Amino acid sequence: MDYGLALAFAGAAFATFLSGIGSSIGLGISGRSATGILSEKPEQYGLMTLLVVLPSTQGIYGLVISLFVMIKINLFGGDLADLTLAQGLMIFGASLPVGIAGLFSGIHQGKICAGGIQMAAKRPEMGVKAGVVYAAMIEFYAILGFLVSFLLIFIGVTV
Amino acid sequence: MAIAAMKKVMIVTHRSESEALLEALQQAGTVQVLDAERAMVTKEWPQLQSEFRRPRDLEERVDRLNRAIVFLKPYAGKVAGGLLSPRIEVPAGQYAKIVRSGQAMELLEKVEQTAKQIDKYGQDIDGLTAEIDKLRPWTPLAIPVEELGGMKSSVCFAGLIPEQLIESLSAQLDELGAIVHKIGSAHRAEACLVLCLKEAAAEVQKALRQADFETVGFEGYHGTIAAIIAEREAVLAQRMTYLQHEKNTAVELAEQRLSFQILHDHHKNLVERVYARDMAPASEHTMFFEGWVKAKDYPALEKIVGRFEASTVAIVEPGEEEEPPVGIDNGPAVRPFETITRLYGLPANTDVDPTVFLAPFFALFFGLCLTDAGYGIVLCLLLAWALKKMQGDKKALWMLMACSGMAVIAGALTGGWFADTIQTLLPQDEGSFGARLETLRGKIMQFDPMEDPLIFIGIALGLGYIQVLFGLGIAFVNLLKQKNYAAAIYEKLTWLILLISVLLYGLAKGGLLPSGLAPVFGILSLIQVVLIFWFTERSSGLAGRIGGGAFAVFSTVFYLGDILSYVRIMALGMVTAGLGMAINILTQLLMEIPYVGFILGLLMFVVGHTVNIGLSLLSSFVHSLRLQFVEFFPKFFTGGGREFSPLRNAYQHIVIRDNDKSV
Repeated sequence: MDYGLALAFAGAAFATFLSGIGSSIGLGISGRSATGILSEKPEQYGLMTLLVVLPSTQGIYGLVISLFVMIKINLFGGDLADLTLAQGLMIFGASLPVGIAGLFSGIHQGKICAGGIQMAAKRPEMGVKAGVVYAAMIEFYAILGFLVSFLLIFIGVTV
Repeated sequence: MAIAAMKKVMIVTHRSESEALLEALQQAGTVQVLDAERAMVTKEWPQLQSEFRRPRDLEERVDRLNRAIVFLKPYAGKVAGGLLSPRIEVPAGQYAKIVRSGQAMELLEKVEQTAKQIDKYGQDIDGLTAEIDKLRPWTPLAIPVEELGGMKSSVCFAGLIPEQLIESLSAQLDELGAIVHKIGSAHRAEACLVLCLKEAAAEVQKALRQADFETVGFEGYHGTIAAIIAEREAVLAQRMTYLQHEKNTAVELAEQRLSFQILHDHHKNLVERVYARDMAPASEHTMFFEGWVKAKDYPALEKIVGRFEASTVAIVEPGEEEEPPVGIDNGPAVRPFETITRLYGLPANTDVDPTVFLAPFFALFFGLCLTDAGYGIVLCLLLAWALKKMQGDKKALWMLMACSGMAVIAGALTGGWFADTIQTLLPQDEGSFGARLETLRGKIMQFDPMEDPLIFIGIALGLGYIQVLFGLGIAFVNLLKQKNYAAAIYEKLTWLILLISVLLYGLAKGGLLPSGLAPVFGILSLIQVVLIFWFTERSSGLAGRIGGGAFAVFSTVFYLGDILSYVRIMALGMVTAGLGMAINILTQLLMEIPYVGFILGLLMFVVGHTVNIGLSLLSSFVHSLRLQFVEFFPKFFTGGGREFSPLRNAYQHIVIRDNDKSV
């Protein structure tokens, strides 16, 4: 029975830390790009910040899934749920989509944002319609990861 | 409620009246005047095109005023308004008075003089300070500097030796028979005199060079260093006084800053007018203002031109390849959403204006992505405050206001009030405030997405399905209006019927409709597939027709993808709620700390939910936008229209209180 719970813990941890890595690297890429531009064009701070923060959402999706796992195993209620090994494995597997999709989409979204930042420096009017919207396309796959994790944990696993 | 109908007009006027006429046109702000290069009249009579000479005097004057405004800014003290309302209200009378009197232009010269003096004294002060700093280490030198070096058989070098090298250098110089005499300390270096016999000078110099000796020259100085410094300090003090005096003058002049701002805006508009005049086609006595006007503004234009005796206006036919500029006109309820359309780019002339169609969807999607009544209310309050404070174009704020209102509704229907604050943070004892709120919340709530997430997914996909069909419907009607019946039927109607009948087929199979209907809808779908396959590439050869048709049938997958894409609405709604729940859990944990728990919890609650509002606002906006641009627009919209930009008065620094007398 303890192994089940351990796996669920690992799932909650993976969801946040994988997607967190994705967001961190993505933000690193976009942020570095923006600071370069801002040293020349400080007046574009608003638009640049918008483009920089876009890859931050993956980490949040991961956090929310971790939270749902914690609720599922009744972490906040005091008595931890009694999980079988199979149930633990299910929760662990269900936590992976948001983590892994977040990991890669975060990194690539950072790259798209960096590109958008470079473009917006020259053509600010394209910043939202191209830069932000293209970044939102990559984010969709993190959202799908979130959705699958969410449904699997909420509907798939009965504790 | 759509793309404004445009009329091409030709205004012909005598040169003597042109200026006054243009002024009237600019004030009305309804005509876009074409320059000689774009005007059609010069295509026919190229001799009307004259060389354009820039109004350099005027441009320079605008530049000077701008520089004066920037220069005076730090001296003006705190200017009322701030970030949201940077422009100053000016009564029309004051505006006219300042423009008429030449006083401000005289003051402008004084401002420039003052700026120049401040600059000069600043430089003087910098130079003197640097000089005094250079001399100060040498203060202990008691002999007048001109006597340094006037010896028969020996040479004297004065300069700075780096601190860390001084010992080794002294030893080295000692061997060469030179004496190092320390005078004082500068920054990380010693000010030294080095004395040696003339014969050894070359060797000594070489050693000094190797030790980074920095020669200090006293050419041009007379007397002792202390006396020189005292004299320089006196000059410095005097310059400081002058500088302060000039700065005081600048503060006085800054009281007139508003006059410069008024003049700046006035001249800027004047320059625009002069551009329009000088770039227009013209003969010796006649000017031709060819341009565009919204059809509804034409009668007013006729009236304006009618006031001028030697001017006339008429509607003319546009040139063959000429595309009219695009202006969009919408009712007050939809107008705020023009912000979204403009972000994408204006519609082409053959398009419909998408604003009215996207407005309800955008607000609804935004509301569902946010799905929190508490957050919606906070946003509404913030926006109401900003609307009250902000000047100028408030369309974007009104749009967000509508969206936030929708979030309140969506949040109330799904039971989200600052996530689960009511249930978890408020005490739920019988009859308490929390319990009553909870009952109320339960009454308004239609379903709880945390318990029935599938309902939420269904709503999101359903909305997607409706919007995709809607987009196809718009395209269908628009093609019919353009009398392009084949395209309307084969490229749009077939898809509409296909998408509807496939859904109905599914419903019939699933038992939600009588199962006997299933074959009917199945056959209807198949007919559409055949039509799409055979008629999409109507004008190609057989191979192209089959290839293109096969691809068109395959593109059903894209429609499926488009509709699935709307599932993000539900996911983002869940993220908002989920992060909010995390914040509430942390708040609860902090509350349990004795003594300071309440304060820490409150801090967590406020900061956490503020961050969540910010993040949710961003993703709700971005993803609602994307659903319009990527899933909705391509169904019916090409875009790429050139914006209608009439000649009109624009103000950068001021707002004229009475619009009717804006000149």
